Amino acid sequence: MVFSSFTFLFLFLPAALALYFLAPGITAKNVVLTLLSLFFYAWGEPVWVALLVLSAVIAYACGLAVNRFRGRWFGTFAFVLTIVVDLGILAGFKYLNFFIGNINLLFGLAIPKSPLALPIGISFYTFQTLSYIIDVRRGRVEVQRSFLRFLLFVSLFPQLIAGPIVRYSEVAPQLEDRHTSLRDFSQGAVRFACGLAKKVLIANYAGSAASSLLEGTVTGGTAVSSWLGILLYAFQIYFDFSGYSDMAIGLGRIFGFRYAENFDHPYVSRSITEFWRRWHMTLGSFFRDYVYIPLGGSRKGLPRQLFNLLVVWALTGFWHGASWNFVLWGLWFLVFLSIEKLIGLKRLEVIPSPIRLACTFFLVLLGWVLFYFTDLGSAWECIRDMFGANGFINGEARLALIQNLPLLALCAVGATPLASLCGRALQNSAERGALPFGLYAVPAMLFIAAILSVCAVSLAGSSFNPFIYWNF
Amino acid sequence: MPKHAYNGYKGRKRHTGWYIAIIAVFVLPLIAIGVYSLVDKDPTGSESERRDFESPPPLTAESWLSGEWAKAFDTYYADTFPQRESLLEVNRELNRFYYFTPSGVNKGNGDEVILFVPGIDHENDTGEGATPPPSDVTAEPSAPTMLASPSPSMSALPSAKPSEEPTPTPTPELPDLADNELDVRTSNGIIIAGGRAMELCASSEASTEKYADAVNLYAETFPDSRVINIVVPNAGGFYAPEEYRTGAYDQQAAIATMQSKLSESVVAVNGYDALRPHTDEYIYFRSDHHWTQLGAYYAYRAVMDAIGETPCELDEFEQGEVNGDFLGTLYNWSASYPQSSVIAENPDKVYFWRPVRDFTTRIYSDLTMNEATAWNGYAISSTVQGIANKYMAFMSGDQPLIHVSTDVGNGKSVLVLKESYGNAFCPYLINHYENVYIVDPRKYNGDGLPSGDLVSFVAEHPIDDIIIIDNPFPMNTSSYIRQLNDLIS
Repeated sequence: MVFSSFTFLFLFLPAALALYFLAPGITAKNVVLTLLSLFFYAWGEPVWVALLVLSAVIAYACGLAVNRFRGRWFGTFAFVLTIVVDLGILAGFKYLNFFIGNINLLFGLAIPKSPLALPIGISFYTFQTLSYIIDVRRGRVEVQRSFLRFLLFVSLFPQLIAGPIVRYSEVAPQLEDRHTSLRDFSQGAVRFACGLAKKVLIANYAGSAASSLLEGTVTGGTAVSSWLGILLYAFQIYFDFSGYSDMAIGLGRIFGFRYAENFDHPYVSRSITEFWRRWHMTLGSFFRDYVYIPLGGSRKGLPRQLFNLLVVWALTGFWHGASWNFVLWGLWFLVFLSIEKLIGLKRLEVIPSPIRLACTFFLVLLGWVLFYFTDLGSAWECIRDMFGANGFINGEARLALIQNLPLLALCAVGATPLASLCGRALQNSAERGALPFGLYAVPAMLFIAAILSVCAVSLAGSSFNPFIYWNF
Repeated sequence: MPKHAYNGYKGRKRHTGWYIAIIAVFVLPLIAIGVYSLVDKDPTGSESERRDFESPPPLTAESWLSGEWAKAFDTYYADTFPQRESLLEVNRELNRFYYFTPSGVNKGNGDEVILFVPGIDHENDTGEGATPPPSDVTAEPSAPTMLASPSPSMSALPSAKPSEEPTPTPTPELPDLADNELDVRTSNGIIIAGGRAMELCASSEASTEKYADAVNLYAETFPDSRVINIVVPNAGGFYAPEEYRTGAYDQQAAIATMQSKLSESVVAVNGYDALRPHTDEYIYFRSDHHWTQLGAYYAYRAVMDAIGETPCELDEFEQGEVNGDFLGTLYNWSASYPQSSVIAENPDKVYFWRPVRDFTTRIYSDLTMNEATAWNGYAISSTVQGIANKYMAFMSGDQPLIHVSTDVGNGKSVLVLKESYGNAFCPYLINHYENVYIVDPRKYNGDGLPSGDLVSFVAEHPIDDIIIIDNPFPMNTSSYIRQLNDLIS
């Protein structure tokens, strides 16, 4: 089920809220929330919901074993088993056809491709169980003895489909006991509305404009249409993904969970290093804590550090999709991260900030070309087009540019921290008593009402509604 | 409530009411509308979209496990959402923002383009009306319903798309083009300007040459028949603002370039020149991507002149008018944008000129002309259901093979290879040939389509004239050119 659908907004969500808040006590609430989450997942994956439950059963049982047989071979076995199962699920469902295709290409074989389609959210929940079992083995978290609570952690519907990647350690206390204050609920509602607006009122429109420009249903190939297309795609992917994270964080808050932030206005970054501190933060910290640091991080000398970075960025790219272009996309960032490391960010600061911002955004945009086209030939064509291989502008490109100007302006303003800074300042002043509380509450109410209405209008007018991050 | 939930936040009591109000604004509409949506009476279809809603299939283990039920429920629930029609109305206004026109809706007849949307995918056009764009609220009925009587087996006809060509890449411009097979990117944007909606067609020399090669191959393959080719412009070729009918969009140049590649044995008729003197007449629909039958008449005259026949005068025919207004494909495509109201306020009419001869029309599902699966068609129907489908009035729509046998009695036969532009043109031929065979290449030799072999067909049914008539899109569409070739190889 997607958040930005009538079914979710007007049937599932109100029903979920009613059942959850009517359920007495934490255990009943956990049962309700788990069942709701499994139903939510089964709506889109009626068969592979079994895989989710199976993966949870294995991680749960192995977690107990790792804890019970700590320091003994069986504990290690259980640990390795969970890792193998999780990575095996990913390999079998997400990467199998990539491997088959490459082996066929390399050895001239014709191994048939697997017919299995990628189950929704698999990249997210496998990483969550991985983080759990690793943290249990390291003794960083208490083992979870209740299967219900563990299943709730794995299946929790707000973040199940497109993140953020929630660490067990973040939500462990809330699985045992949690409360939703009126403040949590109201702020969660505002946050959810923000995310819904990003997805429905920005990402969907930017996405359909971008694909018509990049796929050539509009006469493409001019520099203007290619840049416009990739710019709109950059906005689509940001507003789609961060909008989903906002909705997840907002819903989590309503149900008493506090999730880590996932995006912090990445397009205002002034270096690639900064970009990755602001983009998909939960993925970055996952690879940092579970791959980069265990490999030795920066502690074993520069060559080893560069190797560790290579591993991390190849994996980061590969996580986004089973195709070489994603690996290249990861390595594209590695190049600039390494350059920034070698020169030193401090030394780069002599360059005026607007120039650094522009350069960073430029490099990120070129990166999105690699990300968009799974076929490298098309990516190369697009880059050539961007640099004028097919002329600068034509009539259709000019029309597309003019027609999308208001949307571009909305995207540009929405990508800066302006709105969230204003919102937070207003809320803080009102809560401190510096402003009458109504000056915060009334705009908040108007905002929610306006977003819900306009999104309903837009959803009615649109059947174009895919969450692009589903495939990761 | 436990203390820790407040995170040390003070003054909670004063604000409790405000927080409840915020929560209420969020939750109450969701609950109220959700409950109402379950108890209200669901409409069975949408008038503005001209389609029926599909109820979800019965909930069974199978339909649930396949995911089909949930998907169908989502669609049905969105289709039948309370007040959806009003929401769609408001959405048109919302699109003013997302499809911005500097001066708003221009109702004058100036040259200014007031709307530009990505258009129809011609590579996958099988003739029955293309799939609407994904972000669009409008939808063509999937199988146009007719009052005139096509046989029930019509729906059983193959409707699969032709297999896909390799993805075309960048845009070439006339006249200096890279002669590369992949170097073709069909442009098919739709613009509204000067009170009409038009498709833009950018041509590539590489593609027009391939088209000419295909026509030449027909002349080679059938040395005993006379092969006549005419490519006619679409409305954009004449009425688009200058920028969109010059350069890569220059249909006159594209047609001339193509014709320069035709072999001597092909009778080349220039459709641009045939229509050019009549651009102040009603030769194209304003709301549809087709021409009118009046436009087709001038093309017919040019063809007859070229082969030394005497064309009939318009007043020799019985003229009539198809029931009701016509708002065609291009209007449908742009109906969710406020700029298209200029089209709706001035809908089209479909006029026709009936053949003067007596004739019968049979439709066959492939070139074997199997009577068991044949049914009766029509050349002109004065009644067509649905405001969007009126062009179906001509030649029973797009069919694999139509055989019109007439009382002309001259023993002559014509084979027409055409896409839908040919439908308005063919009725005029009925006045000149004893047998008119009409073949749509898009209905053969593709995924799920019957195989077609014109060489054996012509061996069985001797043909005097072969007319290949197209608009500029087929000339630039690799899948169409392939299908044209596949019919004789």
